[in-house]
Amino acid sequence: MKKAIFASIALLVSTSTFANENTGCGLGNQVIQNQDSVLKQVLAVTTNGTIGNQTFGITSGTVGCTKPAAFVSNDKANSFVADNMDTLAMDISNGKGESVDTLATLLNVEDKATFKAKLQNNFAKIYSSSDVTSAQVIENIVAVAG
Amino acid sequence: MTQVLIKKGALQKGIILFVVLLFSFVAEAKTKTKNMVATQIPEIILEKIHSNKLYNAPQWQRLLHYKNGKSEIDDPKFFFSAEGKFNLEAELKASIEKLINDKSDDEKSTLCYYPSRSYWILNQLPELEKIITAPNCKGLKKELAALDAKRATLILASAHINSPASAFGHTFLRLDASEDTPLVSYAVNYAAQTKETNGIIYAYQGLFGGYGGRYSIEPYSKKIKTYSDLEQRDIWEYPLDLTQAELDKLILHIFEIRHFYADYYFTSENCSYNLLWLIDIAKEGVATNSGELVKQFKYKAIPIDTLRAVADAGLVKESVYRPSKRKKMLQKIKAIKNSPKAIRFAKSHDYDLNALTGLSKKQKANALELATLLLQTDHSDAKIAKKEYLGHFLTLLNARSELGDIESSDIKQPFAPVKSHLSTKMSLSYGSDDDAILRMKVAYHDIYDNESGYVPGAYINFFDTAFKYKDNELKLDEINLLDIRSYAIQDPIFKPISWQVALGGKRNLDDSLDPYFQVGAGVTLGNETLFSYATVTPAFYIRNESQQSISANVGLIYNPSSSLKTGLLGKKEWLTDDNELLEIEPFITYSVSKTTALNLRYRHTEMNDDVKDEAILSLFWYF
Repeated sequence: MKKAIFASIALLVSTSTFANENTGCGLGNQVIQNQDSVLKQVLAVTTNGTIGNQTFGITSGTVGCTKPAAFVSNDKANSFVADNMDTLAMDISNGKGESVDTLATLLNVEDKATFKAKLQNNFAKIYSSSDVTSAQVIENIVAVAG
Repeated sequence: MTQVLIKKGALQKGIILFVVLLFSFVAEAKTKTKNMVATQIPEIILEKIHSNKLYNAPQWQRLLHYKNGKSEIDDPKFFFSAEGKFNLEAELKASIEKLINDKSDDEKSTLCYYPSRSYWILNQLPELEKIITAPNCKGLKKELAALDAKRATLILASAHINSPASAFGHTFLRLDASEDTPLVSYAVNYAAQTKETNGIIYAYQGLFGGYGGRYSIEPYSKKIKTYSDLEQRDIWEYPLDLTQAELDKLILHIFEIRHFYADYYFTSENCSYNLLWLIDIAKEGVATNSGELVKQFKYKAIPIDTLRAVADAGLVKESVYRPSKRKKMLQKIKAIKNSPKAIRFAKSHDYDLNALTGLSKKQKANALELATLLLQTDHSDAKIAKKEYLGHFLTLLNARSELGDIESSDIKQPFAPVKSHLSTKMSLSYGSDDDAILRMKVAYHDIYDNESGYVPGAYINFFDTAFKYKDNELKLDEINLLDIRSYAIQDPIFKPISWQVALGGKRNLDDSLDPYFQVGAGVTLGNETLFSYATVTPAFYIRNESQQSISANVGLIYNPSSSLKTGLLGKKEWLTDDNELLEIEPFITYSVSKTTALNLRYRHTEMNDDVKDEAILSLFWYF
């Protein structure tokens, strides 16, 4: 069943006009803007969200990423981590923040304070290298939070 | 799969009904034989349509975005009838006929492709259920299930500190599966569809409807990255007070209207205005005591004004403030400003952790967190390669995690934009020179207006016209087509350049009204409460003997409270005909409410040796 859902979502994405700049499985995938020129700085170029190409991506960040091992089968949590790798890393290291709270909720964690403390204490184990993938991060989190 | 999802509680009640309805049709369809001749609408249904004048139903009009005698949708594919854009009755009948005759079973079949109107028609005319072939709408169902919306939230991205394109803010909707996890919600955005990067062409096309506007959906976390992290804009979130049934109508409409475009107009049929259609459709006009939302906006729809209209209709209860990354950085600076060493480390870019020895835990933690945020900014500004970024990123985070939990204070919520002064202004002034001035400004916020809820120092004015009455004579005194002053405050992290541009007509020395254009740049320092600017501004006048000038402008603005603003403005202008002009003007503005304010200014002018002093008292009325 899970596979079927996953396949259908994948299909949905490939058929929609989804502007895919970054599938975001790993760290360091934030949007890059080049604002070096003085003119650009003066005008602080922004589209203000009023300009764009239509995206209809009710999609998950896990598309195109490896899925975590079977014991963590939570699509929402998977795609959340894939979409927010850097922000989550910062919140885990700080021991607090909206993204780590969100992850706790998505994983149905009851004792959030302990969860956050455990994750913070084991930051180096969770974000084990700069090549770490979102699937590994989830697996590491589950292993650490036990 | 539908079964599984329902068990999970993933489908909303209203949608379930709709989907069950779809399934009941499938069984019916199988018993039907193929009929190539187009079936007419049965007499009994036609009678019902006519006797109820169903085609005039307000909700049918809303579903077609019908206003002032025509639909605002410009995509011909939206209509089944050739006259559908103008004729409600023809479009209703054509839609019903299409529903009856469409036997296809794919995502493009009428019911799946036009779910919003189909849902409404079937609710109004349940008799149709027996005679239409219902497709499976697999894709639609999957999308609805993935969305799993339980709440809609109206989002305001406030103005970017130094950008006229964003000065009016931006609004979009967010669909929440749970109120606890907005970061996994989806954002519904209405935007002009173009890849145009030339600002002038874009502005022109945008003003005159040259682009098609469409709704799109993407993860909210992506929006936060753009607005909050990249553009340093505060975000305000206003959960809408909608029942699940109302929310379902809104969502089905998004899934229909996404296929079609409407000509996009910057000033009227824009991003914010088109969200109002969604809310009007959800509410069916009820509970909005001031009438339908879209009808409150005729020639201009400024995002903050549309948000106010929604709030005034009683549709929002509380608000959530999401500070920009810049505000987070400034707060960390505040926490360690007593330690130059910590600040130095954060801004050093060499990430040598030994530099932190001797600092307290709190100073270390804040220095590391600030350094991480700055590092991210460098990365997104393409000042540092990804590989290098990742190395430093993990070093900093590892060091921070070892310090454990450190107490931090919340960022103070600024004055809510929704409570700020309204955007159109009329003012009546009396001057001690025994003259009276009537001034009318279409939009938006000038240097004399109260800053609360606006970005301090960002002044933008459109169509500001003044008439002067003196010596029994009324005449046009001044007309400013466009006047933008972006006194962007520099802080320890960001160093924006202040600039200004203005275009209009001004009375000159000989009292003739001359067109002028001026542009300038400078620096602004301070904070949101107290700041000062200095700019240099060349100006070009068009008159008989062409006369140019260059001026030096300085100003000091002080906002002691949310209702009081004071300032001291100075200008020295050198004209090409060797004349010199000096203006010094202290002023004070007191806001009585978001619609009324009082302003007193004292203007000292020296033109060569000619000295003039005048006190002017004004009443500002905002609407």
